[in-house]
Amino acid sequence: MTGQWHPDATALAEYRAGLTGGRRARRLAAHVASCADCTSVNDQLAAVTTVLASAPEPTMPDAVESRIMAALATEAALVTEASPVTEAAHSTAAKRGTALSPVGGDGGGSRRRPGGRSGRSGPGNRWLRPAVLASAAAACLVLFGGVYGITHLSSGSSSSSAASSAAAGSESSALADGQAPGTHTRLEPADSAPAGIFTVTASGTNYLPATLAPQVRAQLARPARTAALPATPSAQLSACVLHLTGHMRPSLVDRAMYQGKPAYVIAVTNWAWVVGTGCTASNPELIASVGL
Amino acid sequence: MGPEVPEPSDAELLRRHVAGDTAAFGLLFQRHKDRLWAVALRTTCDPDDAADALQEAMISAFRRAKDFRGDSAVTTWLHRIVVNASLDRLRRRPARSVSWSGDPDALESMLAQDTRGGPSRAVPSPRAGAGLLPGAPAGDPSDSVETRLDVAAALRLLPEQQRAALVLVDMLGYPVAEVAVILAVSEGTVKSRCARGRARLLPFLAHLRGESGNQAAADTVSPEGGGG
Repeated sequence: MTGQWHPDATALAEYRAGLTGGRRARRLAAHVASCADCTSVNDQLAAVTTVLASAPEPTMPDAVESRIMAALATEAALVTEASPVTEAAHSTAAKRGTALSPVGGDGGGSRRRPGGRSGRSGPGNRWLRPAVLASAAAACLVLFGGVYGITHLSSGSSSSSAASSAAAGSESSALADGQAPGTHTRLEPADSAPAGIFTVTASGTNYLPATLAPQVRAQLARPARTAALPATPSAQLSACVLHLTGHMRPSLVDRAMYQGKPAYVIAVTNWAWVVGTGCTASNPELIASVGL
Repeated sequence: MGPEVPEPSDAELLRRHVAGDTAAFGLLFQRHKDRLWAVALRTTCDPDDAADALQEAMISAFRRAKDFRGDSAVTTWLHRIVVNASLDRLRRRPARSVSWSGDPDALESMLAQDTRGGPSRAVPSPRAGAGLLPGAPAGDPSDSVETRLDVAAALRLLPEQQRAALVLVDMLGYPVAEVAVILAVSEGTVKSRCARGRARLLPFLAHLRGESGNQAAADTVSPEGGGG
C-alpha cells in the first residue's frame, strides 16, 4: 500500500473500461502498480467479468417455446376459436398480422395475445399455467439452482401471480398486486377444457422427419378428411392438443405413424407437433415439431 | 431439411414474413430462441417474467417486422425488443425490483425481505464462489449448481440498466458497439454501466472469493480499450 489515496472500485472499473484518460489514467495505473490493495481490487474486477462470462447459458424450456410458437401461430392466423381455418384465412390473417399497428414501445404492449393470457376468464388464460409452472421449475432448477426452484414452486401464490400475468399488458400489475396468497390454480387447465371440439383423422400417413412439414401441409390441404375416428376425442387427447395449441382449435389431429411408430400429428396454421399416443396435457410426449 | 439446402438468412426470413410467409417468423424465433431466452431470463431474473417478456417481444416483433429497415442486424433488432420488453416488465413490478447499495452487511437482510424467492435462493455462499475464480478448480456439479445460483442472485442486485448491459456484454459476449444499439445508448454509456455494475458486484464476488484471492494475473492493470 502506498500513500493515502486509493481509487474506489468504480474508478478502477471505469479505468479498466477505457473510460478514464489523460493524467488521471496515468495516475491510476501508477498507483495500482504500486498498491497491493488496489491491485487486488483490480484483479477482482477482472474476476467479475470472468465469473459472469463463465455462467452456463440457459436453454429455453420446451413449455415456453411451445407457448410462444402457439402465440405466434395465432398471431399469424388471427383465427377465432369458432371458425375453421382455410388457406385463404391463413394467408389473410398473416397479412393482417403484419399490418397491425405497433404495440407500445419496443418491448411489447397490452394487446390480446392469443397464445397467452389475454384476460382472466376463459380457457385461453389458463393453459399457460402448467407450461409456465413447469418452465419456471425447470428454469429455476437449471439456472437458479435447486433451492430457488423448490422455493418458487412451493410458494404457489407468487407462481400463480406471475403466471397469470404472462403476456398480459398493463393490467398485469394490478392482477399481480391483488393476487391473494393461496389462490393459485395449478396443473389442471387443459384437462378441464371441453373435449370434442375437433375431429381426429386417421390418414395412415407415415410421417418422416425430413418430410414432416410437406406431409402435414398435404393433410391440411385435403378438402375433407375421411376415415375420421369417432368425432369425440378422449379427454386426455383433448387436453394434450389444447395444451399444445394454446386452446386454439387445431387444424389437424391425425392419428398416424411417425417413423413407423404410432403417433398423433397435431397442427395449427403454421406449426405442427408430433406427440406420442399417450400424450397428456402435463406430459405431451413431444417427439418433434416443425414450422409449416 | 436436407443438409445441402442453404439456410435462409435472418433478413431473408424476416422479408418472407413480411411478404406473408406464415412460417418464416417462427423459424426466425426458433433460430435464436435460446439466446433471446437468456437475455430475457437474465434481465428479468425470473422465469415467469422472462417468458412473459419474451412472448410480448416476439408478438411485437412479429407485428412490427415491416418497420425493420435493416439498419442493424436482425438479431440486434430482436435483442433490442426483448431487452425493452424485459425492462418494461420489471418496471411494471417495482415491488420486486432489488437494488443493492453494495454493503455486504445489507445483503442478507435485503434478500430475506424478498418474499418472492426467499433468502435461501440468493444468500451467497463463500464455498460456492470459490470455484468461480480464475485458477480455481472446476469443482463438482453440485458446486456448479450453487455457482449458477450465486451468479443469478448477484445479477438481481444490480439496477436494471446496469444488469442489462452486463448481461449483454459480460455474460453473452456481445460487442459494446452492438450493445449500444440494442440499448439505444452510446457506447460510453454501455461501458459506464458495465463498469459500475462490475464494481457493484465486486464486494459480492469478493465475499464469494473467500481466501482464494490474488490468483488473478496482475497484468490487468491496463484498461480494456473497447472491450467495455
